[in-house]
Amino acid sequence: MMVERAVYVNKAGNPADHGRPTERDLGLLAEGLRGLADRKRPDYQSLFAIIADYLEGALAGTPVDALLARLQAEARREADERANTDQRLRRLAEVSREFAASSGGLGQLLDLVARSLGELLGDLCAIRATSRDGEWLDASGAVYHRDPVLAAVAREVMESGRQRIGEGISGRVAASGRAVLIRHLQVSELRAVSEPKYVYLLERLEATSAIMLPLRYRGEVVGVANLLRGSGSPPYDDRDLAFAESMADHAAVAIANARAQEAERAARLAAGLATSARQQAETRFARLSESGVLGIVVADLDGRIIEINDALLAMLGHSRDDILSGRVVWREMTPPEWRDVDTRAVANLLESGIGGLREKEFVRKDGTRAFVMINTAMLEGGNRECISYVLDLTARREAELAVAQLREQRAADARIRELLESAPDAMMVADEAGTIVLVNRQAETLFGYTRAEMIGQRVELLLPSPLRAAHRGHRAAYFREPRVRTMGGDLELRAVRKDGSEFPIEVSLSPLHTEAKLLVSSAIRDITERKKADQQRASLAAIVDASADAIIGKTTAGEITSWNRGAERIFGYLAHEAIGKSIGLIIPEEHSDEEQKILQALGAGETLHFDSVRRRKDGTHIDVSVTASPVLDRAGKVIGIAKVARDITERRQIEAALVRAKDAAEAAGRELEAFSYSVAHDLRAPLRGMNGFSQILLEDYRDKLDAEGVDCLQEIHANAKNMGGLIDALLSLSRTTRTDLIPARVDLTGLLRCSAADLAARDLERTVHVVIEEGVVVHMDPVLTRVLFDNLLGNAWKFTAKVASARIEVGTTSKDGIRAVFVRDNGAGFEMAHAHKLFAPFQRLHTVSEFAGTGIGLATVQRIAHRHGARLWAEGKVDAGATFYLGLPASCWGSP
Amino acid sequence: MNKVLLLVEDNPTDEKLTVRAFKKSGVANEIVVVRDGAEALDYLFGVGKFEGRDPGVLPSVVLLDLKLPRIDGLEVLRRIRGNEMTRSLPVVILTSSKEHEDLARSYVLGANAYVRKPVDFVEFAEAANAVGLFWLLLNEAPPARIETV
Repeated sequence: MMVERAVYVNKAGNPADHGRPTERDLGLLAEGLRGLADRKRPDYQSLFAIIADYLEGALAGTPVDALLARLQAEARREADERANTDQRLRRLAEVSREFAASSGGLGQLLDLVARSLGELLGDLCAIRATSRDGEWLDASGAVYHRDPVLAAVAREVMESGRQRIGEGISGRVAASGRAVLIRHLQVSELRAVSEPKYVYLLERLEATSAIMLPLRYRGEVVGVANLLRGSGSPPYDDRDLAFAESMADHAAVAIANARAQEAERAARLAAGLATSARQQAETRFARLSESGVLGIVVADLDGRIIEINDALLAMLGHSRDDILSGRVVWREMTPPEWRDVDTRAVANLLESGIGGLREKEFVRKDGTRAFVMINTAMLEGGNRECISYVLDLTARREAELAVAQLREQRAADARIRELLESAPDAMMVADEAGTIVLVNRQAETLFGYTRAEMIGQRVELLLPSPLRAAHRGHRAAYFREPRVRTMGGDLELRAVRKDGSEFPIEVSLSPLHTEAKLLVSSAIRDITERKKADQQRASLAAIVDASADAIIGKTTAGEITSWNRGAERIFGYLAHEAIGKSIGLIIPEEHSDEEQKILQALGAGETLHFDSVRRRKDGTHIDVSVTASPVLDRAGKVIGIAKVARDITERRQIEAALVRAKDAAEAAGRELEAFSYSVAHDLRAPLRGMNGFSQILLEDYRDKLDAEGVDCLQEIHANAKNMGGLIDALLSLSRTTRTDLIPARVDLTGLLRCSAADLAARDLERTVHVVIEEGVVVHMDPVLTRVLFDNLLGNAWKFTAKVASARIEVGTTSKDGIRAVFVRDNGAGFEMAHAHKLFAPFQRLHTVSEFAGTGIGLATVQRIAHRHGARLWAEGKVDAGATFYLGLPASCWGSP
Repeated sequence: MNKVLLLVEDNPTDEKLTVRAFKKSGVANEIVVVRDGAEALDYLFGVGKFEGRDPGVLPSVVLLDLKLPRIDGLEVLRRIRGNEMTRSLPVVILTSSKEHEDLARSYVLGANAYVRKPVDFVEFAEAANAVGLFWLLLNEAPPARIETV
């Protein structure tokens, strides 16, 4: 931005030169902005300054676009006009010269005038001169039309008869001396008042407009020019009329001149007298000087002024006396830079008698300049006198300058537009009322409105409705104290598109001080993406900060670049104590080689995980688990390292505790093993003794005992047997947890048949109807599965003992989406309220006298079920049977 | 001549009950009782305390407890099966254990039968009766020496 800023500073540094930006300025700035389009924060101030410069001149309370349109239209019109006027002026100058130089008599001069008028104002020009007696317009004259046929028709009409002055249109024009402009000629309306031949001519010409032009000289009408335009051209207007009149004046002078010459020639011939050239000149000048349009001066070659007309005096601002007395030196009226032109003209005069058409300036009396076109001709008579015709072109030149200025301004407009369009962001200029006066294409794209839809609207159009009222307040406050506000500050807004969608924007504001009014220019940027990124960054930062782990950034050289709260907590150093230091700060000497290894591995793009030891600020060591990953630039080069270190002291402690617990559990398991073994062997042996010897007594010594003694022995015998059963059940329960689970394909139907057969064999007195579903196959530990179903079937068998026709049914079903094996009986059942007690060890829902049992069977079933990941539940009702469900996971059904 | 029945049992109570159960079931064969695994092997191979006993004369069946002092039952079984002289000798495991492990290893090592000692004497007597009936009366003992093929 340096170059552009320099441009502006220079301009601002020189208040006198507070003009429009030059093309070069704009070009440089546009380049600069284009270069900035993909940069973050363009400095809009230079652009704003240039727009302000531009608007200051251009704006007068009207919207800039309207102003531009008007300026452009004006510029076009003036350019056209200028071209037209230019051509006419040149032609006029030429015609004047031709008129002046014409020496072929009156007839030839009239032809020349008719041709000139016809060519310049078209289509038809017919000129009749007045008769000597001043009563008539002659039947002869000059006719011009580019189509010779139509010219011939017109000539015939004209020559068909002379026109009495005061009668007919031409006659009335000749009488009044005032020109008539008929903008819209209706031929039909003329029939009544015009001669049929004339009407015929008008029809042939398809005339639509007409000018009747008196050719006046010194108040006397010397002729009338009829100008007619056909349907192929636009009708005559006031400017055509004015131009025709000035032509007519020239023509009148020439005609009068020609008549005078003819008269003189006649007089000379008649009187035989020689007339001095000087007299001739005086005579001619006396007439010429009457012309109010052309400045005319007669001078000798030494610069002495002989005569000068009023028109030229008016042009120059001097009195005749000033000039003729010599108080004003004629030569000095030409500024030095134009004197060469005069010198060349004098040379031409001496050589050819004509000075040549030239442009030059005169200094007026008031010191201003008059820009003129001038031609000079030697007067006849050889006395070194010459006559100059001077046409004042000052107005024209001013018009030219204005046009040039407009053109320049148009170019500036275009450049300003280009400049606006080249800005990377949407740009908008608004006035104090909030009316949008200027937008760029990016603004159209951003908001979805066209330029025309935005210009003239309030800027609040682009804000969500809840924010509009507040914004009007902001705007008013801003205009009270306007200042530059760059992007990236706290000025964040929400905007709304034409389609109603909202988005966050960032706005940069700058006041534009123009003479007419204060405006504000804004650059607007859609920051949806950036907001998203910001939020993401903020949330990442929050995550990093909230992390219990230490998250540390460092350079490849090992310098710490970031240090989160986790790092502060774990290592004891605060962020400001660690950042900028070497990572060696927390690495114990014995681990100092780790960094090099990390760097090597990360260079290969790997992420490393390892456990190590780090040093705290207080010197103590800490077990950490480290994840180190490379931070890459876009090219994939490692530019830093991100490290996450987790305090694993606790984990280490837990791990150690787990190892100890596992050892203890294993030891306990071994003890239990040994215990179970001795239970099986050693505890049962005394029971066998008690049972066996009491039995022996009963068998062999019964006769020596009374009834009570026998009963006591029987009690001992039965209790010992019961305790054996309890021990067996306990062993079975413990086996279910100790044994390894080795699942295999189990023919459950077959297994259940065996189990039922065993039960039947042990209880031959009962008849139980057992129904087993065919073809049930499971994948479970075969030994434990047998224990499980022995228990379930045994249970069912036991609790149907008091039912007349006992029935046990085993099959598969689906419950709550789980495929289950059920064992249903029609036995004693249970109260659902106690269902939760069913599977707890030693819990019984029936007294021993009702149903014998250890209270361990279902606990064993439960354990085996759990070891298979199965679910066990029961449904029952007192005296209405019970159903046990074993919900098996898919794996137990052979599915993967 | 009736062959002896060798009972390897360290528990005197179980010994008495076993002997009684066999007697009750009408087993007339002499029951030799040894107290541990070492004694059992000494008896079978005619060494130590049983120096001079003819090892060629084998018992008709060995009733072997598993949990024994000095040398346990499974080791005794392994040595019986490991010796050419005794490898065909019928061995019936008679034990309190119902551990799957014990059962499996016993069969792997070549036990001929596995009988669990029930707590209830009536059942025990029935078991003893069945064992005696089968091994002493029904089963034809293998020849004293089985030639190695």
